[in-house]
Amino acid sequence: MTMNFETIRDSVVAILEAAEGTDFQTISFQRQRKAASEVKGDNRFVQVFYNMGSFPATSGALNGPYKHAITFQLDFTVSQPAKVNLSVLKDDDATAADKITALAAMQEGAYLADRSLDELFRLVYQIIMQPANITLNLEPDVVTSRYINNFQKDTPVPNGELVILTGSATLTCQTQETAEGPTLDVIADPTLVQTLTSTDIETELLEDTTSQTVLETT
Amino acid sequence: MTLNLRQLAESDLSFTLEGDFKMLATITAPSGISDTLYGQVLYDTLSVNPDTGEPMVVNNPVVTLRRSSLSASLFAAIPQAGEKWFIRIPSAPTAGAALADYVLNADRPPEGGASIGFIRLYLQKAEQS
Repeated sequence: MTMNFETIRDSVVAILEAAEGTDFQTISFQRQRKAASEVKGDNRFVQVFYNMGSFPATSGALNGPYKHAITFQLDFTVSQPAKVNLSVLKDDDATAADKITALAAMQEGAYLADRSLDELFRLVYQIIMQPANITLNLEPDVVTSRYINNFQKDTPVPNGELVILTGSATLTCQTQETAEGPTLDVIADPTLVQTLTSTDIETELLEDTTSQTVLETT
Repeated sequence: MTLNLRQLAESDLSFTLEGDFKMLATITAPSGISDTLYGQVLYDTLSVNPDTGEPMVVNNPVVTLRRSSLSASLFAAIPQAGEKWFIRIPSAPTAGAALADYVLNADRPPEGGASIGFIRLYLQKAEQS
């Protein structure tokens, strides 16, 4: 039996895949390694995976359903080279003045990676948080309270000929989970055991369980 | 003529940087002046994955040039941190390799100086804007 968090995970991935176009790639699990060349330009990655779930003990009935507060992690990875007017710089006939202009207009890879990551987060936020996706394409009783709570950009590490930049966001929502198997019958609502002190009543305790106390008087 | 230790080390650069493993590099200064000279190019660097601590090999070209081999106009303008230089080197250490385009990596200042006799340039991949 599939639990709801798996259904929601697949739906989030499907929503992003349907909207990614040529702007990014959606990965539905945690990739251990990513080459910088793999995520260059618009090949940037969005990794979506179930990261954490909490099940408050006080919010579940005996036979379920059980409340499940879900946290999905969205990991973003981009890489960028520097951008410069190569056609001028590689032209043997270009003048020094032309080359000065070309070099002055150069954009650093770190700048471009920073802007690329900002854009990637904007795209994903706009997709997930648009009102039409409030139920993440599922029935309203499956998922509630979907929300992107935060976004964190990591510090770039100067390593390699491309500038790599990563960041992450958390997407939270809530659902109700059920568990397979036979359910337990509830005998009755728990009853307080009373101590009878009246001497003209003879009391016989016939049955005593944790859920019910039956008293008979004669 | 007797060379002192520093002069001897500088003289040795003709073997270490401009010897059998030399490669041709073209550098263009922010002033628009270009120079083509031989130097040493290291393509891959052993690094450490900051997340896992494990060693990894990254493509990270580093060009080392002998300062005294720079033309007079460029010798007066040794690459400095934060400057925009354009560098072209072979894309691989093999004969006939196509030239690849780089700029000076703004995140890693050049190393070296007059006392050492060479300058080491860390490169960043460049593409057409």
